[in-house]
Amino acid sequence: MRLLEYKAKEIFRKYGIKTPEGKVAASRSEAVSIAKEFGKPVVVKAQIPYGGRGKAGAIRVSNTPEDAGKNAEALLGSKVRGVEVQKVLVEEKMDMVKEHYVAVTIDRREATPLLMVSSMGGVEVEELTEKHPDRLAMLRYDLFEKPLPYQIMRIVGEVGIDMKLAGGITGYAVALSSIFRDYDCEIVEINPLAVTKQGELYAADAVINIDDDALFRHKDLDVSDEKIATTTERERELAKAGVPYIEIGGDIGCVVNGAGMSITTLDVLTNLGVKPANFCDIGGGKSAEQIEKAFDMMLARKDLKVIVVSFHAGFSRCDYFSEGFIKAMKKAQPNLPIYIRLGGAEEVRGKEMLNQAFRESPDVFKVVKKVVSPEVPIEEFIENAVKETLGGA
Amino acid sequence: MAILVDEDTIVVVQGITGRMGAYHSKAMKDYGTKVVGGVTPGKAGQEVNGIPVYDYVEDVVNKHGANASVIIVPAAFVKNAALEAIEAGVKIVFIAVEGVPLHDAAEVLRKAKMKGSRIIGPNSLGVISPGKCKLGMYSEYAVMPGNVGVITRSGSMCYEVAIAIKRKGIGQSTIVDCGADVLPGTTMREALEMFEGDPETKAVLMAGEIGGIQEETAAEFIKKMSKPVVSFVAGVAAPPGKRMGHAGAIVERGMGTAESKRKALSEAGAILAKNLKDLPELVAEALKRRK
Repeated sequence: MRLLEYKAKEIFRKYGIKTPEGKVAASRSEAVSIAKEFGKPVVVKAQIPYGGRGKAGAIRVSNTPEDAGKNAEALLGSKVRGVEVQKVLVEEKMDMVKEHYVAVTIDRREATPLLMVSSMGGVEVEELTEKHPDRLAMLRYDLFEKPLPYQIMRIVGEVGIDMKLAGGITGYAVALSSIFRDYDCEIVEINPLAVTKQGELYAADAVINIDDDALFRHKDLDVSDEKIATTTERERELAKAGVPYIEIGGDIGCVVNGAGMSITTLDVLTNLGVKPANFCDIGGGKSAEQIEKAFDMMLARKDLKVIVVSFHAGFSRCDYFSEGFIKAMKKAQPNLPIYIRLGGAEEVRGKEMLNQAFRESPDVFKVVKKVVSPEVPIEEFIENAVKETLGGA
Repeated sequence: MAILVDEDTIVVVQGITGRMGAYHSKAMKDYGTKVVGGVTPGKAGQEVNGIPVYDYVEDVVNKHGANASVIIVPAAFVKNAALEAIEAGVKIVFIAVEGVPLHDAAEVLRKAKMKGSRIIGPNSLGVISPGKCKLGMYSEYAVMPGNVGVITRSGSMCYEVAIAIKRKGIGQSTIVDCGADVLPGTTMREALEMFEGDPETKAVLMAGEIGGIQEETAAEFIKKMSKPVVSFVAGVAAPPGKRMGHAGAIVERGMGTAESKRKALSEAGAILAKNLKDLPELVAEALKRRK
């Protein structure tokens, strides 16, 4: 979960990292009065939990309060990178002479924190690794320690940053390493780190990306804006039920047990030239109730042409699948073709339950066109379902 | 032979009194795995399916010689359970649970490195050497003793490929599901290194997915391997920036794409399957060539 910039900057300031003066506005008039209060040119920045805002035109320099108001009005309510902008940050415009980069993340190879420093700020770190590796220096250090000042100064020098700034950058790097641990971060980043004429250092932008699995330890942080910006209503609803569900935008519904096979299902559909509507993982030992909730959601969708279901149970159970599926079908009574690939743990019982439901309520279940065993490869199963419903893809 | 687990593996189950802990400890025992004790603090003296329960991992190590652990506790408690097992001298610690915080995983790995323990998982089906020992959640119908090593990052994928080759009459020496998290205790590369050194393993099937650098680092080792590796990578169609169910399955900032993984693997000399359904045939061919 990436925090909105203004929240990340609040945390930065608590740890002694300077940021430009700024206030959040949710309307044109608020933006105007903040700009007036600052009494100098400002930058109006859309608050969305994604990067790439500059390229998207969502960071706008405003020389007068009227400009600030206009820019705020243009950004508020507009969509930037697919997210509706609810708030803008109105910030004093910094006169920077240089931009650098400092970040702490996890090193996947060594499973240790990794401090990164670059003399080039304002570009994304991938670009640095690929195109300017000589301008990027890295330092691995122990999870329970902080990077040591002499080590940081060495890498600051290595990438050719003015050594007069080394002391200040060292302080910020240590602060970032504290935030990294205290907030369970995946990455914490100052990009750009602005250097003023007077040689002062400011975090012009701030990234704090918190591990979703650790959010339970940070209940004091309100991330509801971030959640709403990054998920759809249906995604949030199924998340509450503990079912991973992601909307992709196509018209072929997918319900699959296990993330690996769910991902594969999307690949198979895409290879066939059709577009999957969603990712929905009902594996990992989900209960019949959770499976029912997933189908409640899927069967209520009116924008699908067909639903393909693959449930090859190992850790999960076919009888739980059938229980949940049957209950949801009886409630929804959908008019939508459904293809099922079912087998594995408790297969006999699961199939018996399905067959009984087919006999008892033929009208409800006539939309279930086929039930095959996992001996049919996933590619063949899906290809057949697509061909039968869409008449050859 | 096989790798990681065999007849000498002696298992303690942490979280044995929970629903899943009880179910899987019995399933492992029924398979013939030496499950000698369980741990749930405050429940010492009880029994679960005939398996004695203790308060501390240390007790099971001292009394029964446990050298492997299965952790089936809520994600928030995994760190503590794993650190306890490592401190007690357990050599193989399998973490089944998903949702373990990244920094907790890093702490556990740090300690494991210091004490010489190996972690498998988190968010994994575990490891099985068919006919010898099951340290995980594998159904018997998916496995059969044989000489193909299987490595995956996803439980459902693991099932799918293990069963697919079994249907073709090809058994497995050991199956290792490295798990779906960002920091796996045992990486695909480490599993490959072990399979390369295992006389029983004649070929390796490695099924990966988007996210992270595991396939790429594995590819560096495949270049040096004497045994054939048949591989598959899922996620060509996955939208970037979205966690595809697994914590580790995300294309972020252009990194960890299926294309880059496939390229790395095929450049390293791995046999790349375009479709899952082609895997059994490719594995059979790889075995023949390696006589």
